[in-house]
Amino acid sequence: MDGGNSSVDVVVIGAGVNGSGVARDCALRGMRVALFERNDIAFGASGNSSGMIHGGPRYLTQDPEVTFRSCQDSGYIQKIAPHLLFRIPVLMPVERGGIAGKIELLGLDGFFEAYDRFQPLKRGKPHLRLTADELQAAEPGLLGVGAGGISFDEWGIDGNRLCVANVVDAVEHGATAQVHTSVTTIERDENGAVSGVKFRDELTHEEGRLDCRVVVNATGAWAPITAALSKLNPEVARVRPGKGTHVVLDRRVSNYAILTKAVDGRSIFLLPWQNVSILGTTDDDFYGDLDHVTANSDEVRYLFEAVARVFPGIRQARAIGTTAGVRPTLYEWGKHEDALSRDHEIVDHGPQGAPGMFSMLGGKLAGYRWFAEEMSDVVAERLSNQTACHTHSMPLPGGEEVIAPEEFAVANGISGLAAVRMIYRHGGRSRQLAERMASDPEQKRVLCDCEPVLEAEVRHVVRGELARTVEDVSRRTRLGLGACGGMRCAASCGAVVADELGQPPSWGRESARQFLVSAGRRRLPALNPAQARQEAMLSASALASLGSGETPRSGENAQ
Amino acid sequence: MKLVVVGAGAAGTASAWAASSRADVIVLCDRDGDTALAGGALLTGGADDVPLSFSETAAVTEFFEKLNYWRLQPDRVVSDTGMLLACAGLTDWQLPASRFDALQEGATVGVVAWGTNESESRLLARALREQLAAQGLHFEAIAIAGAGRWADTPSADIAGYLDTAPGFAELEAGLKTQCEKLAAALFPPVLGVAENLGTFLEKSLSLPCGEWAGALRSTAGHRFASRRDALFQAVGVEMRGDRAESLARTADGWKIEFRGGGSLLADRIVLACGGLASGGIRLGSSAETLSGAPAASLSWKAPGDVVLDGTHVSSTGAASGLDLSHLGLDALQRIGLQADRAGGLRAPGLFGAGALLAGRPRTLLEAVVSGLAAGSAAITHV
Repeated sequence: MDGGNSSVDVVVIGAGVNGSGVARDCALRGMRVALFERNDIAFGASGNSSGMIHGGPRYLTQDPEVTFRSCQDSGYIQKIAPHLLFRIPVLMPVERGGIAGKIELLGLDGFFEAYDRFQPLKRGKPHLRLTADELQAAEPGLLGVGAGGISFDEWGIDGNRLCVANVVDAVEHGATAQVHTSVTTIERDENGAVSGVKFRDELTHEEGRLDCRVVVNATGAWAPITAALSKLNPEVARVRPGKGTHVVLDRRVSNYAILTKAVDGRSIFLLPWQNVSILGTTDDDFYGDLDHVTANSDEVRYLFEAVARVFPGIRQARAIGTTAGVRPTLYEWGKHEDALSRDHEIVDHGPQGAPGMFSMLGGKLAGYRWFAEEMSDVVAERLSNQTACHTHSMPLPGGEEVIAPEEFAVANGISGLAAVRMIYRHGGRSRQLAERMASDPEQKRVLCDCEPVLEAEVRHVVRGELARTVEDVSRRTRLGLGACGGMRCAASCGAVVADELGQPPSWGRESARQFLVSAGRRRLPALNPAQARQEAMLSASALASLGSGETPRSGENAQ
Repeated sequence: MKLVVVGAGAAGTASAWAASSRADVIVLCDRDGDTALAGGALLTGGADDVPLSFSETAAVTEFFEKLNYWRLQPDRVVSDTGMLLACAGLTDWQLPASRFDALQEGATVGVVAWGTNESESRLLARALREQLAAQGLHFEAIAIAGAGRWADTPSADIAGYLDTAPGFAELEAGLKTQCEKLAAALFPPVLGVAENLGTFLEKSLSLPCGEWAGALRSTAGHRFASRRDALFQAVGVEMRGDRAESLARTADGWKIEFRGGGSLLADRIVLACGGLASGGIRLGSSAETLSGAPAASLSWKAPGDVVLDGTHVSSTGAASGLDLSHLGLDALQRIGLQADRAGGLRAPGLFGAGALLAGRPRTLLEAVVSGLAAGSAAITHV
């Protein structure tokens, strides 16, 4: 480990939102923490979620405590990372007309009246009952609004940035964090207690070992596999993996989220999210390779058909990609995917003969901090650490200062749009990027026009946020996720990443090539015929200039 | 005999030229395709590339001489990512990597930032140092005063300006201030549209000057178009800006109808309107497929069997059109019309060339070879 330190208190495996949250919490309490992630921060469900910190209205009738905690935590996250949150007003049309529609609308009105009681916890506005005309005035693209509808209020967030902020804060409070590094063995002493881990860097193939007293398995859908590394039966950390697919549209097609139902009655949404729209989500049991989860054309069409019924303009929208992740839902047999609990659970593997080993199962983005606090309390108790949790009050990196984009743009000689996007991602830490640009004005160069992303930001996330590949940079900055799919920026980004890491330029080109192959795989299911034409030429050209004739093929392993 | 060539890219131009001595040739050109968007050099397509026969080499060489744009000159060329790529041919504008062989160890090659900013050139220089480490050359980013103002300007516009006398004077003066320490200068694709300014710089500054291969939508398309138009004028080929909408057999030939109205009669036709990327082949939308239309077809009404890897794709796919996530991008580049070796399509007197044809490498050289074959076949086959 860094500085020759080969002993820590806690090893956290998995840098999704739960793992990064626990690493931060434990580090803030003064524990010595090492975080390992075999892919990248937020690689799994956390970075491929719907990107919402919602209050959990769906739990209101069965488990109002969950709704209370979700709303309370949403409020906490707003306090510690105000730059990352954006308000999403939701429209929920009642499609039925007549008496039945009116009764449904009244029922919803009553339901959301109950939800309103929790809204102040997360600075949410109370719901409104809208007539059909009012609903259509709010979003003229809506059809078949029937009896009217409901509007209510939620918050959006970039799950990748949330995880990165937690990891960076953990590191700044003494933790070590290694991405692209697999824990290969969880060692146990003669009494069965956790005693250390062995790990391997998947990029350099270097191996290492570390003593520890506690291991937290925060690997989401990978939880059973991770549990088996300690020679436990994987069944002790069983989850029910559920694949969730989203389609990304190239712009905000509406400034409201539209909540409707798919052909099978499931709730589907069209969400304005940062500078794009997100259409989601599916929920299907998943038995495939967790490291290579991709959407398919059927899922894309299922989602489009659902929203087109009430918002036909969606058919003219341009889909530019998909995301797919696997939820680590708590295991239950015999239930439909949608009916599964979204609650979370901490499994202490002590009774199974492995004291010091814990698994975090289930959970959701909105409740990550609360879940992490519960987990850290358990760890603290085991390690006799008396320090209280501060994660609800201490700002995450970037959350300590609110910066005005206009002044920032003028002061640094960059475009207003670039400033707005940079400040969204980095909050007060944008000052560090400004220092970079002041010392080297060349770093104001725009690498990714779609987002936009400047060279300074790419260098910053490599240097300060553990990015090691073009794909890692993309996850932290949204570089290459716009309409061009990275065709215009991947090569430039690869060159900068290689330069910053002291790697040869050929390494940067290969990293860019891998990103384009994997981005192509994410885009293909969403392409319409006209887009396919452009994609065929652009990808061939981009890959040719990188010195490779290869093109993305479905199911191909980009690594 | 009247031959109509649909498409004026590399394949269409080669077809028209090959047929021009024995036919009245009309070329229909509606919009830019792959050739106009390409980066200049004739990059080889790797393992898929088909080696040229002796007769093909002779024909391509003759065509290139007349076109006066490409030279069939196997070499390596610098891509805009700093990769040295094998190419089958170069334009005069590009600096072949073999020119570096003549430089002494320790010599400095300037990577000029004219329209790119300095950090981009610096990273390119670094990539080249890695690529040519064995030769011991020193690649260095060169910033020329005043050139930085072009940072956001398309390279074709810069090249157009440098083509003018004041523009060239600025270019020459700017480089002069730096050239004493240089053994060669490598430029982005800005060295003129009408003329290769690299040759003028070489003479006036006595150092090798040329471009790296331009990225997509660089100046290469403009240069090709100007040389193609000159060739057509020289050999009497007529070019029209119409878009064909349908082809129909007549008693003794073909009738071409245009989208904007009007028609044209022809004895033979060569289709060289590009593959999926350029719009010659189109994929059906889900709504069309549900109504029974083919999943893939020519983008206008004409006889032809669209195949992918030897299989018809007229009804392939699910109810909502071709399943792209299953086919993959490489399939999009292989899909095309089925043809015989001379480019003959399903109907008599109808030929195809270039990326329109199925299962051929999507390289410019292949487009030229198939274009020459189709043009020749069109005027000889009955």
